[in-house]
Amino acid sequence: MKIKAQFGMVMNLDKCIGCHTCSVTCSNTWTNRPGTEYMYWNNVETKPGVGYPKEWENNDEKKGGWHLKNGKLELKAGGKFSKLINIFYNKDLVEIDDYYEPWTYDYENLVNSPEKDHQPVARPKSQLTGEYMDITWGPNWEDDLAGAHETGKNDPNMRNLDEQIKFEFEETFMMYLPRICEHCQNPSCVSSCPSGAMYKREEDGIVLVDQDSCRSWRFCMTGCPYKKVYFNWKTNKAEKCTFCFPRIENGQPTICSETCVGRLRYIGIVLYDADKVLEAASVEDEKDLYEAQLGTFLDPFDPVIQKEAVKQGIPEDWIEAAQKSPVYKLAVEQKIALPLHPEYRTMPMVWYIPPLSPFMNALGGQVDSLSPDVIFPTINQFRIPIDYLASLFTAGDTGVIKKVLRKLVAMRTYMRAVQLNKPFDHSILEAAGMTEEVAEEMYQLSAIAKYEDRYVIPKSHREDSGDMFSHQGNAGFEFMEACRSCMGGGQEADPLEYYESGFWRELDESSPKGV
Amino acid sequence: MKAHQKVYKITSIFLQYPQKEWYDFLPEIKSEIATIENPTANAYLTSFMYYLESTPFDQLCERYVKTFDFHGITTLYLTYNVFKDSRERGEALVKLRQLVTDSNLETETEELPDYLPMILEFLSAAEDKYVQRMLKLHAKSILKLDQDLVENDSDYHFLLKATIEISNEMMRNAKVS
Repeated sequence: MKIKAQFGMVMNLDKCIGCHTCSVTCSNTWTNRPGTEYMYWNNVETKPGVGYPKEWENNDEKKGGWHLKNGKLELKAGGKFSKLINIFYNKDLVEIDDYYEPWTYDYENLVNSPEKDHQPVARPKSQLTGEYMDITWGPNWEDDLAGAHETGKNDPNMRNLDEQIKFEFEETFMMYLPRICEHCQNPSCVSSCPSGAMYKREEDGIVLVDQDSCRSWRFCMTGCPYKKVYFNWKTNKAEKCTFCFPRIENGQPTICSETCVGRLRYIGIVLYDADKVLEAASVEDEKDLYEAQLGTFLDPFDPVIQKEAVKQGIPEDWIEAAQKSPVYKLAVEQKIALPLHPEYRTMPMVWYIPPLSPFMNALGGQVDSLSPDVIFPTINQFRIPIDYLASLFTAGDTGVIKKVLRKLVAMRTYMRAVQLNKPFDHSILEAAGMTEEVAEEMYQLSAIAKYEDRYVIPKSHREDSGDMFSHQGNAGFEFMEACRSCMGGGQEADPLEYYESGFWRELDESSPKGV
Repeated sequence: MKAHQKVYKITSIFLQYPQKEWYDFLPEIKSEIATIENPTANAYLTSFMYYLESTPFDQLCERYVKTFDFHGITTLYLTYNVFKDSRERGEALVKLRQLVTDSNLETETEELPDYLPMILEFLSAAEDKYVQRMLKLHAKSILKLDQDLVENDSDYHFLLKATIEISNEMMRNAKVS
């Protein structure tokens, strides 16, 4: 057993109002540099829709993630050999038009324009070429279903639905899907990189790009099935969501979570057995992947696990944090959070509580005479089709989705009864596989959880990592566009100090060769 | 000579390319090892002696080259794995050389200042404060080298283990006094 700690996030989609605050604050924090204009490390999509980049979910064509070949896990984009022979021409690469051409406006004209008959206008100007351009697509083109009567048909999740019906006006449905890098347990981007520039951090599972080692091959972009690795066209390096590691190391939530208006994000760690990952990602039936991934997580309350974890060098306060982790609670204990597209076999670590649809409406006037016979069948008639949610979160297994929705409905009816002091039919909870305690806990965490309950983030142990102050302002982009204003600590890091503090690069070659 | 100096001296010699002459003074070295009180370091060195005696000379040489010379994983040049071929390695080496010069010991070889056998010899001769500085500096690299040798099933890890053991003992004593 090889115990690892891993940061994860859960997003409660019922609460997402699609305000894009997360995208904006993320963009202001991380991607406000030249070369990154088109990037949204965090973006919010309206589903159904093709998303950003267009049709990212269509991995039959885009070749992201893993598939099974003769029972063995292999990159969809092909193994080492095919990568080598295609290294100078990757036909599966996502192009800039699939994202959008970033633009600004010619604001100067509003001020400098001479007197004319007509109002001066600020024409859109491409941030790539500087030329005037027509805007025909954007990162959020389908917001609130705009144009989805055309693009929505190309949403890969609609394939198994009776789309004719679902796009009729009376039947339309929508939901928001905020997306960041999944910081997968089995990241295909890391395995795709020919230069070994991408790595998954040993201590907390955050997936990062080593800007010094990146050689611009861009196979990570193809390899990632969520299309969450981007290419900076100015520095010619790959960039991606960092899970705001400088904040996380300090015990603070990521900027997208911190600023989330709906408070729908939860951050915590889980302990998992790294030895089980390959096996779990290789299960034959796609529908078993969700359970298989759950199977890799370890119970932080088990004394045997705790002892072993300490032995393997996981700090005590991290084990404590794993016990309090909202991610563990929602995903493993309450089983209401689900991974996004488990069929990509990357074992993603950003999970989602599926949206319920306005269910009071679906129940009509029967709200107060609730019995299991009434409320559970209505789940099938919810506005957002079960099949659609299943395609997003369970590789098509509608059974799991139904179970989750049942729990959510049961919790609400239970709390409604409690609040209104009305008699409650306990068979509702039983039928959903819950007890009163579980319902209460679910309510606490999903409805009224405080900041410190939503974000249980153990600080990194900096006493183990040498003198960090001397590295301040030196990490990241010094080869191109260093942050000069924040060079607080030492002018330049002393190489001997660096050596002594043991900042070992995570090298491909760390496994023995030869001999 | 103190115990730790003996260990450093012995490991320094045997981490170099195998020499025929070694066999001549093996008995002497073995009796020196016997006087080392630290049982763990003692056992490691004895194990290595056994390896020397039980392996044909040609094979000793061949394994040495395969272990230390053919790739960068288990290399005796300690800074290599941290910096690879980057510019910083040069700066680090200059500073390392400066450290050695500061101690008033003279270097007789053309070897780079991060060459482990040379560092070990330095440890066996230098004053305590320089020894501690040097050990602290290279601690992680030495531990890493030991790990990598173990992973490669190399008998040379006995020497590294003996060094680490005796260094730990020394550092503990230094803290107490």
